[in-house]
Amino acid sequence: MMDTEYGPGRTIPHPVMFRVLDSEADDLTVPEIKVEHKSEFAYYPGCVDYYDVEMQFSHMNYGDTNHGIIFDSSVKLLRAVGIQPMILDRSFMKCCGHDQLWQGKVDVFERMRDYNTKIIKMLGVKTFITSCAEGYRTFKLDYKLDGVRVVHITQFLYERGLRIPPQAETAKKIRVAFQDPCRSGRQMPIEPVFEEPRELIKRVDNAELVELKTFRADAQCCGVAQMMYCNDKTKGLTRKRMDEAVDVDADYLLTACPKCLTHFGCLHHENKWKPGEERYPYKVMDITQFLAERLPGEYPTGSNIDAKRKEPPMPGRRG
Amino acid sequence: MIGIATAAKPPPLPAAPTTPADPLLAYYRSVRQMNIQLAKDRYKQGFKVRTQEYIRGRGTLAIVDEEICMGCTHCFDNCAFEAIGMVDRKFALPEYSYTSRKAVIIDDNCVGCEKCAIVCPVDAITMVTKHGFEVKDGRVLSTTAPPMPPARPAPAVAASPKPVPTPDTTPPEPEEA
Repeated sequence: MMDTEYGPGRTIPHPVMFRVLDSEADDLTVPEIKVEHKSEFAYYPGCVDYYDVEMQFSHMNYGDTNHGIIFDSSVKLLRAVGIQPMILDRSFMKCCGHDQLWQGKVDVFERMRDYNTKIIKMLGVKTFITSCAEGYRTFKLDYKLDGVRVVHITQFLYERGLRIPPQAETAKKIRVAFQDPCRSGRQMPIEPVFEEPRELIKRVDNAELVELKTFRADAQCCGVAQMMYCNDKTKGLTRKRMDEAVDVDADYLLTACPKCLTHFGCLHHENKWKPGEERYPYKVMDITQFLAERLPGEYPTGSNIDAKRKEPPMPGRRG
Repeated sequence: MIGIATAAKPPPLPAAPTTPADPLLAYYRSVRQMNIQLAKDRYKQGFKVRTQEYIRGRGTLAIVDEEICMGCTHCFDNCAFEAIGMVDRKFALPEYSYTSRKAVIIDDNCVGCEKCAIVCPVDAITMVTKHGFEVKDGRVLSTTAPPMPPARPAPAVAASPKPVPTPDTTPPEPEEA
């Protein structure tokens, strides 16, 4: 319990995540970079693995969201449009510094920015593809990457003409809702990502796109900004947003931001464990996972499954 | 699997792999596994730092009121430090006896993070200060002085060639209880 200005509230701070990501800026020596398959198209997965570990470490419920699947799905989608991307993985890249910048740790952000810019220039990247909404905004606006084109993966797939093959005739019609992430949507003064994910969803022939109550530039936030903390108030926002998807009778709630996926998945997981009174009878997933599952070929897995755990544990009572 | 025809054909790749994309898939998989391991290793360091912070600075300990505890295992499920165990207590009444499940705190592992007290649905868990700590102005403070830097026993031992003869260097521990 913690006394907030609105009264007592439950908080889940994320000090370990902050510490881990901040400490990346301490050591700025460039390690030995081993990149096979050099390409001018670079894919940056962001902090997906860190979210996975964070969910398992400090949450009252572990969540059953699998952020690593965003990595696998993105690679599968990029190869489906004929790109063999170079992976800018976290062994030599740093965090993009979005959280540090918006929490006011500008010096940490600047160190990360200078380091990442140096690496990107060194590898000769021409097109920088990211699957994270916050990374998209940060690399596009807050970095000075002259000569490097920063695109969100949905933009890239759209302009490359990703074609989803027709689904099986037995596949039932599904209603798909899309949550616009704040950072790539209404907080992007240039090239906001509104149209491309919707166009991609429409290419799935058995999917019908439904709009939530607030959408595009009016879209409400998922509740938590930059993993600051989770309390009763932010959970109320998340719940309000997820109730909108219930109102439009959606089968899937898609998002393009790993952090939205974290918070939606957390609440979704809590409500799933009440037998008989399931509040959110739809699936929550990233748009890359949704599209990659509709492609032929190997089904993407996040490969971050704890072998010892057979099923997700019971969540806390109220979270 | 690059079996998908694209509507807007990209320019041909400079060096398409002759084998059908299996080594490439293996490469991406290996990158993925390496990244997972990297995240876990980095997190482990932060976990240790956080644990040390609690042990030094927090100074609180959870206690369970067994009359209230109903054995719902929420605290057991949510403890990140494996500091809670579930035991079956036997209660003998004149008429009958019964068994009830209760939570017990393993004091050595408890770091005072208060998570169990938060999730407890009946508020059976309260936080108390550890020995050597006290609550002052709403904060838990240590009453003892901060730990001294470790002294060097080695020269002292070397200077005294005849140490005080101890009866037994390894006292039997089980007899203490």
